[in-house]
Amino acid sequence: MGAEENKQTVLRFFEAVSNGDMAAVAGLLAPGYLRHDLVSVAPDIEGAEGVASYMASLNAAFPDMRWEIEGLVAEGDRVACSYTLAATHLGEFMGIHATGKRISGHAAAILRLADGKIAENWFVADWAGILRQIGALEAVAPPA
Amino acid sequence: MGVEENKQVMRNLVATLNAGDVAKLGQFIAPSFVRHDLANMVPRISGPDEGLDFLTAFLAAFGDHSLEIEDMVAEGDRVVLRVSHTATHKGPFLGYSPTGRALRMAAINVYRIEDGKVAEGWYLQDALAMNRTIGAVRWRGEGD
Repeated sequence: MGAEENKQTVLRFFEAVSNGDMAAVAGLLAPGYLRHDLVSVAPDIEGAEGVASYMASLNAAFPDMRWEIEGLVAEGDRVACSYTLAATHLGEFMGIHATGKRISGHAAAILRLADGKIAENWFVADWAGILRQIGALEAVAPPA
Repeated sequence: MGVEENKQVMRNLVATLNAGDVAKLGQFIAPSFVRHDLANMVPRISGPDEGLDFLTAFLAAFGDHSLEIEDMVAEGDRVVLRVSHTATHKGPFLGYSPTGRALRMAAINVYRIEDGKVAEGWYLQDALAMNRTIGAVRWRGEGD
């Protein structure tokens, strides 16, 4: 599979995730799919079932979450993807009850494809910014 | 400049940074350089002078800093790096006094390369790790 085909697969994956179409998600993942979360607060995710249960918990907290792809860079078996997310905090997230606040932030991922399927995903999102927006994290001013 | 040359620019830049050779870092920064911080950790940096000032301050705060390239994806004029930073907070940074804490921070950064220099960079690092290390945030309800 070439880099362009891999980009199309990644675009289909994000579309399926955004639409909550878990059957389509499962069809795009290689056996043993693993998402490494590079920010320690979020869990690693294994397989289509892991994606489904993670998305269910995310959707419970942020039911209107929208992902927008800003750029794709592909080479060999890798596709790098930068995107933004935006949502309203309408359910419990990391111990914080719904605040009704709008949240937004950047995210980026590098995905490894094998035989046209997504096999591995290294993911970073600005969880620090999002946790501050819902009040889970508080800024500490530097000493005067 | 091709994709392989652009990747080599980034390898050379990281090696120079790891050698702590700030004087030689200038050769990698284009006159029009802009640093976009997608996690809003560091204000926007424009031009080589501000870029080198920032790197000098960063290396002074994190004297034992080491940057490891974990993955690299390049296409056209873009190079995407997944990196891990390892360091100890030994000097003031962004106004925060040294904590002596260990920093281990992942990032996915996108660079636009122009004539063998970095013209633009979009940085998405695990700001939670950095902010916790330097004491810039606390969890809600957490004491001082």
